[in-house]
Amino acid sequence: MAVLNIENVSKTFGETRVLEDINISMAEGEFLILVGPSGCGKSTLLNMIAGLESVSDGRITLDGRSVNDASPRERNIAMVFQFYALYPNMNVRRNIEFGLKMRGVPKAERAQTVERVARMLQIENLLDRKPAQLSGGQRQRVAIGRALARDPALFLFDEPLSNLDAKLRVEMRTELKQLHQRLGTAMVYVTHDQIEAMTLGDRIAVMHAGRVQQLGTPREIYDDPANRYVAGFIGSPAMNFIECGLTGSGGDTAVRLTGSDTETHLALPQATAAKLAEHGKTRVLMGVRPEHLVPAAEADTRRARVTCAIDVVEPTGPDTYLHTELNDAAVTARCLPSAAPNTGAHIPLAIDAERAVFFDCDTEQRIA
Amino acid sequence: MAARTEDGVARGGPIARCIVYGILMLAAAYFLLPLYVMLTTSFKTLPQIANGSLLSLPSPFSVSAWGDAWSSACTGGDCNGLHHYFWNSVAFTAPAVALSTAFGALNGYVLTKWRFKGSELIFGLLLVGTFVPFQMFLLPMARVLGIIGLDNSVAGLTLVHTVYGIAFTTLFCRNYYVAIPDELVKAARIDGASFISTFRHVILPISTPILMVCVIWQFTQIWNDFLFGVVFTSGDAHPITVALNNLVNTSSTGVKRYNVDMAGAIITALPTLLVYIVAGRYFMRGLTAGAVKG
Repeated sequence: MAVLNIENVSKTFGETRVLEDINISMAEGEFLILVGPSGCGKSTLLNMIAGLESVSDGRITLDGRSVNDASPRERNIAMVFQFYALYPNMNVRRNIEFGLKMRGVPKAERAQTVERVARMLQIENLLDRKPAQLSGGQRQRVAIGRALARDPALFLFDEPLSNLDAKLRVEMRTELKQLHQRLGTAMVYVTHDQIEAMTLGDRIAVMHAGRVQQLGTPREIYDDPANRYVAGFIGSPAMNFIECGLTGSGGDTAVRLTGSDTETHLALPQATAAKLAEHGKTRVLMGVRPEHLVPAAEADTRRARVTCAIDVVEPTGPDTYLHTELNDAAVTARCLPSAAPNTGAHIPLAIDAERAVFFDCDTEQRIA
Repeated sequence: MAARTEDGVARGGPIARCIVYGILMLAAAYFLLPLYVMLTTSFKTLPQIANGSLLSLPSPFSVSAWGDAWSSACTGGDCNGLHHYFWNSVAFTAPAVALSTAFGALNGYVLTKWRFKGSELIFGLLLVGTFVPFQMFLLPMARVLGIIGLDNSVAGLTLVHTVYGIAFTTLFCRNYYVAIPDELVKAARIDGASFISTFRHVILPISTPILMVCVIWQFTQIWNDFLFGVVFTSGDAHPITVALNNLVNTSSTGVKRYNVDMAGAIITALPTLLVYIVAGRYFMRGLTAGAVKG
């Protein structure tokens, strides 16, 4: 049975529509990510699940029970906030047990729960401190502990790591994933960080302009984006978008690519070519991830290649990125650090046509 | 040259400092002198006041003027000193301060953390209340007090001061609570706390500075009020401010007893001074909190 069911949910603030027709169903034990830029409505949706915002239209069910009109107290959920939201006047112990106290759990049981949670998060030595005496990472642990204490059916996370420094963020990310594996409780996690989304989620809902653009596993979202927005949002460095003219027809349809001087016809896989031909437009937007645009020397010799002038060489450690132009669009290619060319060099780049995706230039929806 | 000091504040050289401290000391003396004269005069005897210098120290040192002011000086009709009126003032100031502070805190909490349609309008209207002068209230309030049967009573004064004070305490508390992150209230709601228990367990414990501001402000306003006291009460129900006025302006013997007047004035001012000393360190902290925290 679905832990959480969001059916045709919309949200309006006065005249403005911030969420439109959201449909998400979450399985038991699933880790669901809501990812999108600020203002896309992801936090509003989370607050609606929590009961902090009302539902304008549609229905939200938790454990099969409609909770549209239920207060947060009546929903079996716990939430972790971006700015920790620890009660400043209470020490860590009282922060963790506050939710239990409000629900009338007896003192002995509360003490047991605090012990268990503190051990799990390794914060036993902090129990008597006030939030002001804790570091950012410790505060977030306590905030997570407060959520754990209640043993809810669903955890909600509202950008819990975005206030931490980069190193701690990566550590906590791994810990959260371990925690989820250990507890097996369903979690909804809001973030604007696509790397967090990819690494943590069982499934990801990419949100933009109040709508779910795509809902799928990290692999599906990455390899099979539904539209240009999703393709551009997920992946770092971002996917390259190249506007191209088409040549040939039917299964022979190919795209024209111009590098620094030479023009190439990139042959496409049969299925892709057929879909493009069927779509009927002569110009399309091709999306290629940097790792599928590499120096020809590193690639299969049968792949089409196009010579490009390298404008900028960017070493990042494991990979080196090359900035150049294809069909007058700025693109990024990836190469091995050991084989990095010099700035200004003209080198042939090979494109993995199997992995290229195509969008309509106007609607930006996926064609093939 | 002004050098950057450890605390980051640029200070001048020794000469500049001498000038600054000199001016500050002059200013302090200027403001402390009247208090000095009041204190010394209250401990002097009448002949010494008549013949001695204004600034001389009391000799012989006498506390009889204080006793007179407290228990036997004439205030209009009766001659029992200020003590009865002192307790009058305590009787309406204490509940009025407590009530207006409590309502202000509750209002501020609702106006910032439980916003509803029209809450900004209500806050705006309350704000107007802080600009309305006392005098405008007099007639309508007298009529209301008459209708509800609280005219000429300590309870009536409590009501008037509570109502008038709510506009101020709401303004103070609302501006303080606006700086408290909303997430704190959200977290409490998720934790299952109700409207009232969120206020009690989460908001109130971190409100000490602003509550102190409200208490000091309200206590000073209410204790020192003369106008409401003189208009809405008479005779036995007068507050101490009105009684002090009567004490200074009544003379049973035809001789102006400056020592008793001074002692009475100090007795009247003492409670406000005490409140400042006890709660004062929170005052500046409360007024500026939230202003620096973005």
